[in-house]
Amino acid sequence: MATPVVIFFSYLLVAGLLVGVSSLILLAIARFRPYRRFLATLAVLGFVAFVWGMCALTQPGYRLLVCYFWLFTAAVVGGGVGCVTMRNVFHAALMLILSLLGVAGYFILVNAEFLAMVQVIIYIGGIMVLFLFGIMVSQNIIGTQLKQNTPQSPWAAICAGVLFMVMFFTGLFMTLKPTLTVTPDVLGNNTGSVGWSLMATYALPFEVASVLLLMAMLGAIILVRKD
Amino acid sequence: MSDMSVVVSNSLFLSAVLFTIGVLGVMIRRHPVIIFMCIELMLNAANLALVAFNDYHYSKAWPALDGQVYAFMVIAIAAAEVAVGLAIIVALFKRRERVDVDEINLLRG
Repeated sequence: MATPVVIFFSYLLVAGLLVGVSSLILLAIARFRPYRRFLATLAVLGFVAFVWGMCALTQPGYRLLVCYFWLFTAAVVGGGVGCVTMRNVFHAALMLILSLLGVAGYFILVNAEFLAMVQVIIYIGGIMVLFLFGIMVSQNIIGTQLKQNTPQSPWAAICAGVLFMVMFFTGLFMTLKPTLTVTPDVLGNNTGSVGWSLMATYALPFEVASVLLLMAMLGAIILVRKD
Repeated sequence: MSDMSVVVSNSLFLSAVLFTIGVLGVMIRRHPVIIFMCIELMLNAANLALVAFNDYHYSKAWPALDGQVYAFMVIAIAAAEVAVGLAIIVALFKRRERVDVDEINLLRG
């Protein structure tokens, strides 16, 4: 499998992705004009190399799937990083919407179409609109005069890195028993299966969740009402 | 279909990355709304892992969608949490001009 051509294209893919992403990040930070043009050229070259390596490495039938896969990955990671780093709260909320859209795409890739639609309708249409509404109602939330980061951020970065390493190595050394091959006809009716599970097997948790939502709604109204 | 299992393992990896981003955001940001949004990121990472494991273990011998139902419940809990949390933040903003999570340390009404 590891012929020199394959090795060359996989290096091209990884190097192109790294160069493209890092020059995009530098482009967002840099302010000097000719330097910016050089960085933009580098970013375009990096992404061209990435797409070339990807097309050379994948089978023609899987090419579209792999393309969507990388698109959703970029949306999730880029949106998450943007949500954490943006100074303006409104912009952070918009980046979070991008990240949630990427997660919805991932749900489609792992055969959960109903959940993907629920993600778009409830998360983006409901929860995020509630977020934006809350930000806009209290106008002075969008205060860039507030110092945004805590002084303990290096320690926070170290803690997060350790946490990621723990999760990464747990996943690396986890042995999963190989399952039977999933034939597409088994996964045909995802919405029907989820509905059957919700209404038959998990009917009681479903009702408890609805009561919980009602109580949360009442609690929110009581918290913000005029005294 | 070996390609789908690659998608599943990659989505587990992405779930770890997303969770770490959320933890980092909760720890380094001071704005309460952004902290809430980072909690949403962590919930989404957990949802992604649940759905990916469900897809991995789904077979003719075990044709259940427990992971997806669990993710559905997580979304419902997240909606409740956001409603109450934003109400608390808006109520805080009514009382004081500037909200910094380091300065909110009183539990009186």
